[in-house]
Amino acid sequence: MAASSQFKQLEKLGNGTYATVYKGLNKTTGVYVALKEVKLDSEEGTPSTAVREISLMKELKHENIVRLYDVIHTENKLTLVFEFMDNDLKKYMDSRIVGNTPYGFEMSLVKYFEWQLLQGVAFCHENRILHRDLKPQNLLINNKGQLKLGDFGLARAFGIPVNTFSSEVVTLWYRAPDVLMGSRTYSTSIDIWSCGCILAEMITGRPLFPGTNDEEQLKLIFETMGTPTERTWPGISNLPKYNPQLPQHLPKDLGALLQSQTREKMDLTLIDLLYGLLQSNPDRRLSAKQALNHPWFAEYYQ
Amino acid sequence: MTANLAEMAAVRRAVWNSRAAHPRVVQMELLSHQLACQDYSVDILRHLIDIEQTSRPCLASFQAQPEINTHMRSLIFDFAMCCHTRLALSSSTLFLCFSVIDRYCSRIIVKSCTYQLVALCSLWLASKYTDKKPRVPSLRALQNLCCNQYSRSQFQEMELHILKALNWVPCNSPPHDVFVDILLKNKISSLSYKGLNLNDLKYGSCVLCELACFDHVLAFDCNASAVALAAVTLTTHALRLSVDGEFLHYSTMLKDINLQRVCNLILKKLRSRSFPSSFKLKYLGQNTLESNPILKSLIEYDLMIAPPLVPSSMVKPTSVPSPTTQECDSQAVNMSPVSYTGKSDTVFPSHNFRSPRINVPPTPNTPSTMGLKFNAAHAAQIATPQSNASSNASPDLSRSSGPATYAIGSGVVRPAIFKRSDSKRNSANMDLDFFGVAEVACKRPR
Repeated sequence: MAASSQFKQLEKLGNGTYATVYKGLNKTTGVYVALKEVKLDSEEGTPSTAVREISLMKELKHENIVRLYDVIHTENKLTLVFEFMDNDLKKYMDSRIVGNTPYGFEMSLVKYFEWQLLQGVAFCHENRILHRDLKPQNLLINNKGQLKLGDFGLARAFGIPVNTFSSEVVTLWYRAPDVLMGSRTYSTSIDIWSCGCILAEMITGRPLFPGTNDEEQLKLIFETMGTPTERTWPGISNLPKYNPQLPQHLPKDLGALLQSQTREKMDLTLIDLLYGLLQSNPDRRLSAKQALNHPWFAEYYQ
Repeated sequence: MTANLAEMAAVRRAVWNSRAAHPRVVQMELLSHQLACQDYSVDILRHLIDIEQTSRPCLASFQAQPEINTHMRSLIFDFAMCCHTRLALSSSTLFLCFSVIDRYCSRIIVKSCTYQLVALCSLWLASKYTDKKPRVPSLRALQNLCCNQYSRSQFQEMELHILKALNWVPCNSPPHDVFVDILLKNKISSLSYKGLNLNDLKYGSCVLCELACFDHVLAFDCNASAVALAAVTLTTHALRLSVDGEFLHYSTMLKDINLQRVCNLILKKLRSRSFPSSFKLKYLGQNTLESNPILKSLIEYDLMIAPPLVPSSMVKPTSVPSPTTQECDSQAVNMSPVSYTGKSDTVFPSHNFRSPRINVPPTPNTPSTMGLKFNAAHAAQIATPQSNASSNASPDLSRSSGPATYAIGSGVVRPAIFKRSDSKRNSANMDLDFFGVAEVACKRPR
């Protein structure tokens, strides 16, 4: 087990959901690490988020998931020692804004990142773990172009008949419409919606559905994807927060919409994949495994 | 104005909650989850079995413990289960808690006076891992459960010590109920389930799994998946017997000799009738065994397997087939020689009160009635962090561990439809039979 004296604490990298993250240097090996400091609560001991994050991440060893090397306990805090990553996807996208105009990535990079994202998500789901907070800030990248899922503070293991989870998961912009309408036993499909939103964002450089509250978020989704009805989504009217007065929108041409915001060429298979990930009805959404077998990724699996 | 807003928000939340409990919504969500899981079911099962192998407790280490033994273990488990019931935590939490206790005791020498603290902290960790945040017990609640016997800092130290001792992954052992769910889901198409209520099957299987945890041989020697498979098999046969009067020996379905041994051990535990008091708290309350139709079915099934008194007129079920007849694997080929269709009420009249009726006192929930024998002074050669938790526990041994009030009355067999009062959207229950959805939606309470 590592001792805290082994690491030199460097600059602050940011605040996670329940902790502060610093860059650190392993003095014996000279390797950089990310040190996530979790305060131990005098009331509740080890926070449940930390119990879950540590348990889950120790289990998940995959090249597209940030590795948790060690946990160090000192006085009144825990320090989680993670693999160091140079950047996160959010900062990387921000760095490409010229003036006020955001620019998406080259299509080959979009494809490589989305492929790695889905690999990581598929691995989580195979290990019966939901990430539940996929967003560009939580996708870490390094100078080799590798992308890894990080921040499992909201993640949890799921059973075969799923538990009822809280509905306050996933940052609003990446939250699936079924969750927004109050569905509580959401499943692996919740992570897939986020993957779809992130794919579109990488293409254009702007968030696909930047709502400010639940109602606006749903409005933005339905304006683009079309308002679901009992016919396209049987049972929707029973969802707790379903509003029968929702304005009826027809689906827009997502391909044309995104094409207008990028200079890269959007091909038809990409648009097909986007529709597969961004199905409002969770039952119709692709699984991560299915998405990885989509023709758009043909160059990777052939 | 603000009060008004808060009130309106509360009303909105109440409306959402009631709408979320609508059977159609629940059904829709479960179907959707099942669909999503289908892709991954094989991977998930393989993964669970892998981690199960790496998270087993060790009986030899436990037996080498200088101060605690299997008797204390059952008392401590009883205490943990009482706490679990009182706090209304999910069923996975209990199995996880038991597993954490045993694995910690397989690695660290535990003083008898800190064994209870280990149990409470294990429950705490398991709950933090499994339950929704508002459900996780507060430190104050935990202290109350043990009559403030341990200080706040003792709890916190012990929690961290367990985390470290178990290499920071205390909760990675898959709980029994997860396997029960998978087994029920995967085998649902098999004929043996026809006409049985899935919730009843899950309920009965979990009862048997919990009982199995109290048995140190089953807990240390057998995988959770094996215990779950045995429990599902036994429950299926028992409910079959109650519903159709059709008796089938478990060995006709389970050819594996090890699994037969597990079944046998579970039934033995059931037969002993020395149910922990936490069991009575959870499943019987003030009532007799008969009041719980599923427990009754299980006991009736056991009476068919091992009749207490064998009247000469009674046909004894054929004994376990020898392991050499294993060439036909599993249930696919069960042209059973033992399908035995005597109506159970003809088989056991009310002669079988092997245990006297004893009125069981209310369940203990505090250490003063726990009956753990605390020795006053202990040498300090022990590695637990709680070296200062000394002898302030009362050495009360007056706990009645008498047999359950148990009565099989008229022996009338009726279909068992048992509902837990807290079943509303609790994952402990398979809320809906999401396999034969149509017939079940109406069976939900409320």
